[in-house]
Amino acid sequence: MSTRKAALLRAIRGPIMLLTLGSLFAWDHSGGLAFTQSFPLLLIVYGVLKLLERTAVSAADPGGTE
Amino acid sequence: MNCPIHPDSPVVAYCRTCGQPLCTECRRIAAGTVYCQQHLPAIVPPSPSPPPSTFAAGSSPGLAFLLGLIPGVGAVYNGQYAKGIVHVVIFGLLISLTTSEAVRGFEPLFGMLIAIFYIYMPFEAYHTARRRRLGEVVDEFSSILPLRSHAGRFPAGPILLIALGLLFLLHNLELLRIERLLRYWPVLLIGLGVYMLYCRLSGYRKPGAKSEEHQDVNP
Repeated sequence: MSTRKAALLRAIRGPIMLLTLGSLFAWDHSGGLAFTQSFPLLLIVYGVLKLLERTAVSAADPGGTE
Repeated sequence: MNCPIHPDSPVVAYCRTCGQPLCTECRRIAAGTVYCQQHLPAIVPPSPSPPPSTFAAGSSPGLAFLLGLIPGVGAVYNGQYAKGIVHVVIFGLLISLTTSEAVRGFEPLFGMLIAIFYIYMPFEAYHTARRRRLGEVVDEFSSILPLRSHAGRFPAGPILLIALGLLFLLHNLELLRIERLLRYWPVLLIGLGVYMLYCRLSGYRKPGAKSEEHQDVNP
């Protein structure tokens, strides 16, 4: 169950990163925060996704690889 | 219907050449086709040989060494993209620290660290490429601290990413100045020591804690 969740999280990582990137660019173009200022949000989103994936994997098999 | 040779076993297949009924024991499979013992074609050896040659072609240690002279590219050549980014970040961080005013009086130390790290990268790429050529499976973060080696471990990689993101975000929103924070760079050494201690103590006897002896190489 959790393995499937981890696989799902891994699968949605790319689209979510793309969504975030697009949103940040849109925000920049609409006169909000410049992309050069808001890029750390990409790092944060990626880190959160990795963390969720990791917790799902360790819930599935503690001690297994990957 | 049962096999003529093994009367207890049911027939599961027929020889493609003579049509003899075969049970699981008599069945011989060659190149995905079922044969009996008599009509089994001579074993064709070429199938196992191509994978090593193509594998070796993708990892030349010499080329890895040369590319390793460009920060991060050696690791990328070995297919270790995350490690390449880590190399670039460490290298850039060392240079930024040296040129910033945060390291009052420690410029020689950081200069040496830059030199050592610059030499370390191509050698690391060389050894990784050699291990790949020998057919060993190399971890994404091999020979770096075991950032994400096992599921039960402390998730240092993601937390580091989140912390870095928060730091840069706060800096960009002018809520906090990184320059001022860099004065506390020795805290990094303390954190590294605590993390290594944690890894050694928690994963010491676990099977698969393999990159233990490589840790000392990393500056």
